[in-house]
Amino acid sequence: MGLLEKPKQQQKLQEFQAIILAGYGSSNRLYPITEDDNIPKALLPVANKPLISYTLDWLEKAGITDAFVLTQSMGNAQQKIAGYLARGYQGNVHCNLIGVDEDFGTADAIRSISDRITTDFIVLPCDLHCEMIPREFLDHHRINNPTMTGLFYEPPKGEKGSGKEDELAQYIGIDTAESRLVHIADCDSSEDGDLSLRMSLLWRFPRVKFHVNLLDAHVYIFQHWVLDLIKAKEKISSIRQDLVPLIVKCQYQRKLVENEDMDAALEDPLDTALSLSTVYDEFDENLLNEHDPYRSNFKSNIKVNTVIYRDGYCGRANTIAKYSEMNRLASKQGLSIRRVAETAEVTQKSQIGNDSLVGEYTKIAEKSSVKRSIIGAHCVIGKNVKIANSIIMDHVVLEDFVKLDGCIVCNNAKVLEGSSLTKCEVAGGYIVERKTEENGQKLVGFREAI
Amino acid sequence: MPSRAKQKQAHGDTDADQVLQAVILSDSFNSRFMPLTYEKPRCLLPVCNVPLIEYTIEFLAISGAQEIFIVATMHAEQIKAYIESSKWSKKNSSSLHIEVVHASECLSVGDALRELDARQLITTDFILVGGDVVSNMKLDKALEAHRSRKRSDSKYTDKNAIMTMVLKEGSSYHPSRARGEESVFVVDPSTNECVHYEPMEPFPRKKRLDINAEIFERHAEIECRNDLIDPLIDICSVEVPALFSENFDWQHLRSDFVRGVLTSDILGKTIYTYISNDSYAARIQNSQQYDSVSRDILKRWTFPIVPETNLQESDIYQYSRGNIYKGTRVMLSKSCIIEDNVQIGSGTVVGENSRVTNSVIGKNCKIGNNVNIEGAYLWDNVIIEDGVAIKRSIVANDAVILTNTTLDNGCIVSFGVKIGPSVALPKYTRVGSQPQPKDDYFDDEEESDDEEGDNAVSDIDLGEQGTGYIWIDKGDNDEDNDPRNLKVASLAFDLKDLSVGKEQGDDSDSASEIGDLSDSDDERDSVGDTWHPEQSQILAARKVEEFKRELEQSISRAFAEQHTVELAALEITGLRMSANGSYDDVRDVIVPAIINQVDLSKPMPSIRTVLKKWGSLIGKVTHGKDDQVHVLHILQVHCADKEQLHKLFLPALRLLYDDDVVEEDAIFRWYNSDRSKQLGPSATALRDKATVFIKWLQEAEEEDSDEDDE
Repeated sequence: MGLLEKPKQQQKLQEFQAIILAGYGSSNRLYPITEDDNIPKALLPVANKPLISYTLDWLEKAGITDAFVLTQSMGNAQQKIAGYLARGYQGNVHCNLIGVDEDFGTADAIRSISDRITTDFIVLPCDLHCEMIPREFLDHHRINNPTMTGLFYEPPKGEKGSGKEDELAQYIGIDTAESRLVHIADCDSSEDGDLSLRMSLLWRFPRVKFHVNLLDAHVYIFQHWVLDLIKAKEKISSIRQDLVPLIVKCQYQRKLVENEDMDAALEDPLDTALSLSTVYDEFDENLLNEHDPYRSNFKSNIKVNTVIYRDGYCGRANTIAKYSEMNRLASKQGLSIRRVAETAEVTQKSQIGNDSLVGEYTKIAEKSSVKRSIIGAHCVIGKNVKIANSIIMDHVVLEDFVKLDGCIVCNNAKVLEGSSLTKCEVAGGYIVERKTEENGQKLVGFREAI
Repeated sequence: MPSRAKQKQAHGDTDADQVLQAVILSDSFNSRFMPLTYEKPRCLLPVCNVPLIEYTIEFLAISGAQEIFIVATMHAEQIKAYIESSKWSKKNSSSLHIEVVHASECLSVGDALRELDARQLITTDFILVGGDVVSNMKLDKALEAHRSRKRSDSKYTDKNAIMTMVLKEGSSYHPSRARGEESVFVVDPSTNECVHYEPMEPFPRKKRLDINAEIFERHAEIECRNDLIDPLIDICSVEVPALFSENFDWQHLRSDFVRGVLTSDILGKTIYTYISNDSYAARIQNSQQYDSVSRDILKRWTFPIVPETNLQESDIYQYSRGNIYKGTRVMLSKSCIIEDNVQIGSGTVVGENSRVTNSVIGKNCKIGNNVNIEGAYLWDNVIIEDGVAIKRSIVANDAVILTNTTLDNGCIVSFGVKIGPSVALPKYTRVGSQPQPKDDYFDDEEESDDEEGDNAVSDIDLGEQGTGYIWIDKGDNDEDNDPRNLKVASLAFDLKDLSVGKEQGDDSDSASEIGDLSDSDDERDSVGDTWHPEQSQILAARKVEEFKRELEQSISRAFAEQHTVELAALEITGLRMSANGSYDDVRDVIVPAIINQVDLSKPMPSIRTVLKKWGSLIGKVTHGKDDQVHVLHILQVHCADKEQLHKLFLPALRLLYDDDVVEEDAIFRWYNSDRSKQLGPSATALRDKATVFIKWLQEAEEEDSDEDDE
């Protein structure tokens, strides 16, 4: 599809190829809004634009024009994303959509397309919205040329409370001198949640800062040889759980490097050249300290760098709370975006707050009010409807006197007259009966509960 | 008046006009410098020809201390006499008031502070240092930081702050860090609060550092620092000595006090750090640091504290290129070579063709011809005769090294000792002028195993005219300190020499531990099972070995002392549980042990009595068919091992069967198992012998089942 539209771009020599993990490896933390009868995660609307478009925009800003979008081949997600990329997507990133078995881990998925990746590659989630200028991140990688560069961010203060419940905090250790990532572990991985470090780490990196308030944006740039590693080691299944910790540890654990034959994979060609030189005096520093039991000169060629973004918004829509938060921020007051689509019909007597959005062809009858909410396209909203802090997707019908606060209403759902919902998620196609009053429920059809 | 007010503002403290007090703990409370410290307190040992305590007092004077208490334990009279005769006591020369506090009963830093508390000498925040600090740092910023925490208007107010540790940024392998006593400070980078302190002795090697998760509730970000030099300069609040009195078991300032305060939920006190990166600070607590600090002084890292600024009034040093410092009336022969980083005290004579590099030579020394001195520290009035070679050693006042003698790396020769002629002292020899006391002052432990390896050392020959006694490093009074930690901290110690470890097996793991993967809880890092390093298996195997050895001892005790089976079983259970050993290992040991009890001269009656009693012990550690098969395999292998035991196999099998230790099924399974056929020819022969018994068993069983059928 996309292939036919922009054939020229493929001719260009790429510096990085991008791999977007779309609706991949994600748990059901977004249930029920990503169920099959609604839309896949990649297409969830954020300020009436699909989530994945933010990632694609970010890539475009980074000057990356070649991306693989990996999604699961089960269900209709692949089809829907394909539809969007072919017709809806307006940007210049050339996307290759690939369906992968849903049991695959993230690293397995990359292994399956490894022969199509020819450069260093950048792996991104489809649910990232980051105000960081991507060049800053890429430049960091270009300057230091590490094995891997990872992006971390400090979550906005307000999000902290909600973030704690569903996202496990991680201990993240970053070397002060070179901002290298030297330790990454879930807070509860050891028995009582203590931070447990190897001494060899502290001998190799004497100054390490440990954070618990940073979140992994799951954006990684890898050198191309990491692909060989993934290919060679079938056991690496997940990027986050297997690959990243392995690479991080190889920075200071000599045994691990030896056991894994990691050094063979990345012998520095310059070193090899030097050792062949006739004027080169072979002086092995390691020999000097051979007998030293606690002072090793072990220097791994493996480097993991990090960039910490603190200056603006950065977040992932991997939970309902964070998805709502992202919507709120994307439509917050003061942004210069068109708030009410031209084709929308909003009666004079209705109030649309300047912190809300109304999508195309949506009709809103009189005396309704919309505050801090986003309303999708083709919705029909009755009289005296009050919508606050909510996300209404496309083709939703809200009858008269409906009250919604903090809700997410999925495609094709109907809320019948007089209902009042607070903090509810209404699944795609679900019909909320008249005068229903609910708080904090997930309103889902029966067949889905199976 | 206005100037007074201004001063107050500048100090920002209500008690700015209070004197700044300082406490010097002159005693080291250890024996690192023995035998030198047997005759002279450590703080009076010369460093670059100036007594060590001069550097410390100078440092405190620069920092504005007005009242200094020197807590002296060993050789207190000498310290007092020195201070009284020094420039500091002359009335007009300084506003500094120095008082020597006798505390003869103290055995540790904790005792010294309790003594201070008892005497109520401290009235305000004070600086606490050891008598061994060399620093050119000005403490004003650290003092200000400490005081500002007490004020309510400052940014980082913390009324519970009781101490600020002044630390120097270095690197992890910095020579000024005390080898063997490095420690990790975990600091909150935004406030400099110290949240965790971890000493890291290299032996036994510490592999992991655990930081309590609770710390992260209060500090979102912490920094682990393994690059800090700890010169033991602390700014303490008045409460500190009192806290030592309350916690009478605290001995050490760092490992007891700092750790105690940081981990206590009750005290609610906090400790801060002040990390300096632009000045010099180090302490001399062992001979390795004596060497590194002396060199730093010669190489001018400590400027303005360098020899030619003449800390002692009587000195006049001249500085010339290549970091060479010469006192007055130094006589160098024409052909001698004085190379980099050398200090020569006044009145010293160096003979023809002698070579001196990287060394400090005291006053009025006489160095003969063809002498080679490399990295050595000769104190005053030392006489070196012709042809002597000295490498990286310390030679104290009035010592005489006779012709053609060599001192290898790391020797320490005490006051007035004579060595030679024509002997070679091996590495790390310590020679005292007095014999080593049986229990030296700090050794309240009985000397046990750590001397064994060193006894050979005392055969060292001091030469025909030699006087003096060989001293053996006895280690500290810390019961849990590995003696190797002291070794690595001694002068010129080469870590290669450690691999000649005393404890068996120790050297093998020290080399491979660096990338240590052997601890198990990180195994999930590596992605799968095959990635398990063999290291952990080796360690585990070693543990099992040890466990088995203990078992053997316990069971032979049981035989010898005629224990009851119950008692023996209890002991075995206890051992097994404490070592987390398996029943398999237990059986591996006790089955052969029991068979060995049989008197081979009269096998039949003897095996009957032995198994009658001890067979049930085997039964107690055998649960289920698999275990019984295991017992039979052990029995088979053991009896096949020696020819005399061959004939015991069948009776033993029979008796075990009669005692219900092994049942028919297990015997059949053993007989039919592949393993029983593959244990070597003699074992197979034993198996064949058992065929008759097996047949008999089978028949008996068939009869049984026939009966059942009916």
